[in-house]
Amino acid sequence: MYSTPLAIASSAVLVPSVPAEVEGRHGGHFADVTAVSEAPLWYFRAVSIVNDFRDLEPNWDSYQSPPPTETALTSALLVLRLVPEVGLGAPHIAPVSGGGIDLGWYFDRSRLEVEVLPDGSIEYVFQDSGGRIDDGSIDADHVTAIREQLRWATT
Amino acid sequence: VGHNVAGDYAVAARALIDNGAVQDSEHLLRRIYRDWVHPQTGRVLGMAFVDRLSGEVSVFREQMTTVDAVMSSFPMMGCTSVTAQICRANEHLVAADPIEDNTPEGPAHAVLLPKPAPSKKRIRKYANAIAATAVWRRRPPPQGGGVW
Repeated sequence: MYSTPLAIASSAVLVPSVPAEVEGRHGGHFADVTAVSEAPLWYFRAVSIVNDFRDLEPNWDSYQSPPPTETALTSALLVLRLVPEVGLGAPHIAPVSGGGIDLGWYFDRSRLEVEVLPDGSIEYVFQDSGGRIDDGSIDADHVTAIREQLRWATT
Repeated sequence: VGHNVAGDYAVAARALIDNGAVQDSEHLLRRIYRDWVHPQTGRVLGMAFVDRLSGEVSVFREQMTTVDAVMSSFPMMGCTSVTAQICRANEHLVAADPIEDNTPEGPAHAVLLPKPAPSKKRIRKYANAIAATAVWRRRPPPQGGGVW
């Protein structure tokens, strides 16, 4: 259903960042960018999937849910931009009832689920190989905390 | 005992009461969107039992309806069942909430509602535990979606 824009991968362009305040400083539209030449191919497909959530119809879940909010879409794209640098690999991406977006990584004995809530904040649940569960919340603009949570899952 | 989580959601939850009208042993049907499925195991994921707008998760009491009735207007969805006991054991209220909408499944409508917590973060943990017990009654048609 979704196509990977391979043609884009070979062009010399940059993926624009989210024009948001990042940890107390305004970075500007291109202050934090991912060079396309360095991004894995799954990244483009993931961005495409998230952007396609804008086309979800109201009641997409059969329970009267609206599509993901623009704030959630922005936060989800921000999280995605951090994933390649920690080497976590491609997430499973799905909309969540009420206007959120879920990014999940499922391994043989562990899993990390990062849910972007409708207000852009982030909730995560990490289950390690011993079955221990850690969960918590992160504000969407706390990039360092998000990155560390993603990095932890790789260990 | 009634609880609600008003103030924790964009749409304030109603003051629903779990008065035991839905028995612990009852099976509750939940329609499943195609992307709410584990990409490797095919099991239902916790996000299927979360609603971030009101907190209310709609289900249908199987003893009062059928899978066919619940799914009749949604052929692209899947359907699972969980027991009321499991939902209660994972910090959710289970309240009968019949809907008078002239559909065959309307009278069977019920709601799962997370009990109040210090923050919303625990909701997903319990939703995952509920989802882990879900049994497929009808799998969604294979799609692309968020799985690769």
